[in-house]
Amino acid sequence: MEFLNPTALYAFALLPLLAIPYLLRARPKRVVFSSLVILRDLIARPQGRGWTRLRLPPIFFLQLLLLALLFFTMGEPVLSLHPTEIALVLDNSASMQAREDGRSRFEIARAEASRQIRGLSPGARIDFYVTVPTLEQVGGRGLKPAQAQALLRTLQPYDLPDRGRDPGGMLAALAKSKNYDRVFFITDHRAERQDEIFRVISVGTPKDNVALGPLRVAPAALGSARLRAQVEVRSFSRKEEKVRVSVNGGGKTLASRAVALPAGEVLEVSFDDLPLAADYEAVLAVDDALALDNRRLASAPSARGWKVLAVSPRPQALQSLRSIPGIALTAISPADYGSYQGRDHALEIFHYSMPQALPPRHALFVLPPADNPLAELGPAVPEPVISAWQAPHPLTDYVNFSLFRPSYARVLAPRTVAQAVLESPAGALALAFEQRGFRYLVLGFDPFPYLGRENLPMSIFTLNVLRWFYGELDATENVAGAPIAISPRPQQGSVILPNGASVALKANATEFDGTLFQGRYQVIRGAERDWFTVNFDSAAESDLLNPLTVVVPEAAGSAAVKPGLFRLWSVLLLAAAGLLLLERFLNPPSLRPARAR
Amino acid sequence: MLAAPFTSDFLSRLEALRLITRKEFLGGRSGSYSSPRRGTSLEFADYRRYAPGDDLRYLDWGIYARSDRLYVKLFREEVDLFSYLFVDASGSMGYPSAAEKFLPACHVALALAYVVLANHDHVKLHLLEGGAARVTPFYQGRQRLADLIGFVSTAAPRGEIDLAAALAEQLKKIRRPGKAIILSDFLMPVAACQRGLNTLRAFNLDICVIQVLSRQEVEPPFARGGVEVVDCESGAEERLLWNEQLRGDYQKALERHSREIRSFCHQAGIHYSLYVTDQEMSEFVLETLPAIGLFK
Repeated sequence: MEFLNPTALYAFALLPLLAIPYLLRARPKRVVFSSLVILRDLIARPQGRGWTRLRLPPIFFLQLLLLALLFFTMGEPVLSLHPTEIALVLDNSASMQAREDGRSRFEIARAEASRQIRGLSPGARIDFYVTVPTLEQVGGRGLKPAQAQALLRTLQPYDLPDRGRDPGGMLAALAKSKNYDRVFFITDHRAERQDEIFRVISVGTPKDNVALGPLRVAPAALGSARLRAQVEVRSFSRKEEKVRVSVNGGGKTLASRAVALPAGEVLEVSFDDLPLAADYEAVLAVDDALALDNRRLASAPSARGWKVLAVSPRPQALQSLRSIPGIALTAISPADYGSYQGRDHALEIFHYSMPQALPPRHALFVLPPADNPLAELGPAVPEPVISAWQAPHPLTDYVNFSLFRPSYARVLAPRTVAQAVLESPAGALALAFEQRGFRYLVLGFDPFPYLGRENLPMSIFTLNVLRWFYGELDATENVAGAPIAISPRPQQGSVILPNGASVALKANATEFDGTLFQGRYQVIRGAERDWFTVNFDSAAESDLLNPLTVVVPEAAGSAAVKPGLFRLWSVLLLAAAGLLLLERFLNPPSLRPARAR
Repeated sequence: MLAAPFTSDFLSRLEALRLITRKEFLGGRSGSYSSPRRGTSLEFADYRRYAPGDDLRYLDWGIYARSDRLYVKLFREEVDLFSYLFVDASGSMGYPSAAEKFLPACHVALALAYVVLANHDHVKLHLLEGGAARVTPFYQGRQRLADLIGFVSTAAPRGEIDLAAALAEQLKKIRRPGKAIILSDFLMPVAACQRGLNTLRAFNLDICVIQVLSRQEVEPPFARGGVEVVDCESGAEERLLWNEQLRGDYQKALERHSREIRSFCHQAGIHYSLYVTDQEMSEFVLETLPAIGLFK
C-alpha cells in the first residue's frame, strides 16, 4: 500500500485532540443539590463513580475510528503492485539551480531520484527524462537501476526556463504514449494532487530572489560616442532588498550603484558615460537563492556591426549618411545588389529601386518604382504640406512638421497592410509595416541627402528613421534556448560554449540552437570569429516565491491505470460515512449534554 | 408577597371546604367536628334506657309505643378542631430556590390554614427550621390569615433538621389533639420519615403528609459527565458520572422513595399527597387534596 498524499498523514498527530472535549467533560462540575439521599444509592453502584478514572465512552472510540479513517483517506492510499516500468522525469530547468541550505535543488532532486531508484525492485526498468529544452528521454530506454544511478550522476540543469505552463499535461501525454506503471516527476513546482501513476515529488521551498532584467548598452543618442547602459532589477522578494548593481567590461568594473529595491518592484538602473568595451556584464551583488539571474551580458553596439547597405541608381546621394557616427555605409547600384544580397547588413535602403523580393532584414524604400508590390504611387505633389502624422511615434518625435517641406513627393496607396505615418491632404506619404520580425518603411518623398543642421526637420526625421530601425536592432537579445542567427558561410566551423566545450557547426548554417547556458558563445569559421552573448531571461523561473503548480489531469491517471492499482479512498470514504451515520445514531444531537443549570 | 395566589375567588372557594378528620377529638368548645362525647348535636349516636331525671324531650315515643319501654335518644357532641401545620424549613426546601419550593409549600400551608380559619377552628403553624423551630400561637377566624402570611414571609429555609426530633420537640408543647399536616420534601432516609411520622402518630393526631418536590428534583438538570454534587444542607459532596442511564436510575430511585413513604402512610392511616411545585397551587389544593379525602 502506498499513499498518494503522504503529507496528510501528519494529521494523525491531531487525533489526541479528540480526547480534550472528553477530558473537559469528564472534569466534574460542581452543582448544589437538595439532598444526596437518593444519589448516594446510585453512587454506590460501580458505574456511578466512573469519573474518578478517565473513562472514555464507546462513542469516543467510534469517533476516533471515524477521524482516523478520514485522515487515512486524506492520505489517498492505493494498493499497488511493485512497479516495473518506471519513467523518471527530472526537472532540469534554471530554477533547479536555486540553493536550498547549501545544496542546489537539482542536487536534492538527484538525491531524491536516487532514493526512488533504490526503492524499486531489481527487475524494474527505468526511462529517464529531462524537461528542458524539451521533454526528452536521455540515456536510452529500459535502464536497470544501476545504469539509472550512473546516468543520474551525469545530468545537469540548464539555464533554460520551463518549456510550458502545463507540466501536468506533459506528464499525461507521456503516460499516454508509453504504458508506464509509475511516472515520477521530481521538480521544484508544487503538486495539486497525486495519482496512482503520477507522483510529483516537490523539492525546495519558496525563496526570496532578486533578478536582473534586460541589459542594454547603446549610445546615449544616435551618433553619439558616449555609451549608456540600462538594466532592469526585478524583485521577487517579500521584503525590501538593498542591492549593488555593477557593470563590468574589459575585465574591470566600469560603474557601480547601490539601490534599494522595494518588494515586488522593478527598477531600471542606468549607467552613463561608459567606455567602449568588447562586451559588458551587469552583476547583481546580492546573496539570494538563484545566482544565475544575477548576471546579464550585452555586446557593445559596435560589436554588433551597424552596417547599412544603400542601393540607388544615384549612390552619391546617400553618401551623406556617412557623416552620422556609427553608420558603416555601403552604397551600390541596383545592378550590384545581387552580389551583396545575403550579407549581414543590419539595414538596407532602396533608393528609387526595389528588390525582387522583400529582403529578410530591416529595409527602407524611398520612392520605389511604380511596379513595386508595397504601395501604389499616386500623383506627384510638389512641396507637400504634412497635414497629419502619427503621434506619439518614434518616426515623428521632435519633428516640426510646419517646417517639414520635401521638395517633391508622390502619394502612396498601400498594397499591403501598412500604417500611414505621415499624410498630406492628397494622401499618405510614409507607410510603415512589419513582416516576419523585420521593419519596413516606404517613403513617398526623398529625405536624402542628409544635410544635418541645414535642413533640421528633415535631418531629425532621418535620424528618427535610423533610430526606429536601430532601436529594433538594439532590442533584440539572444535568450538562452533560442537559436542565434548567424551568417551562412561555405566552410564548416565550430561554436565554443560558455563552459569551454566545442560544438561543430555545419557549412552554410544560418543559426545555432545549442544555447543551453547563459554566457558568451564564440563562432569560429576559418579565420572569422564572431561573439554572441546569451542571457537567461525568465521572470517565471526567477520567481521562486510562487512556483508553478503541477495539475495532473483527472482523466490522465485513470486512463492509464493498470490492473493491480486500486484507489482505496472511495471505499474508505464510504466506510467513514457509514461510521458517521452510526455515530449519529448512537449519539444523536438531542441526547448530547445540555448546559448545566 | 403572598397576595398573588390568594385572590378573593380562591379564598371564597377555600371557604367552601372543610377539613375531614378520621379521629374524634375532645374539643374545647362546640364546633362542627364530632367528639366521642354525647352531646346535643343533631347527629344521632345511640339509645339508652330512660333514667329518672332525663330530659323528656329526647324520649323515643315510637319505641315506647312498640315495646312499652322508655328509651332516650343520645346525640354526638360536636366540637371545634385544633390543627397543626408543620412546614419543613430546612435547607433542602430552598432548592433550587426558595421561590420555587419553599414558597409554594408555604402557600399550600396557608391555604390549608385558611380552610381551618374559615371554619372558626384553631390553627397553629410550625416552621421546622434548622436549630429552633418557629411557632405561631393558635389562630382562629379568617382575619388571622394576614398574621400567618406575615409569619411565613419572614421565614427562609436554612439548616438541617432531624424530622423526628424536631417534631418531638414541638409535640411536647401540644396539649390538644387534632389534625396534623406536615409539608416536607422528605428527602431523607425512609426510616427517618417513618420515625417522624410515628412520633406524630404517638400523639394521637390525625395526620396528613404532603411531600413537596421541585421539578429540578424530579428531573435533575445535570450535564452529562462528571458531576460533583453538594448537599445544600450538610455540605457533603459526592462525585458521580452523570449520564442518561444514571438519570433514569435516579428517577426510578426517587419514585421508589416516594412510594415507600406513601406505602407507610397508607398502612398508618395517614393521608399522603405529592406536590410538585410546578403544578398550579390552587389546582392542587382544590382538586388533589379533596381527592385524597382531606376535605369535604
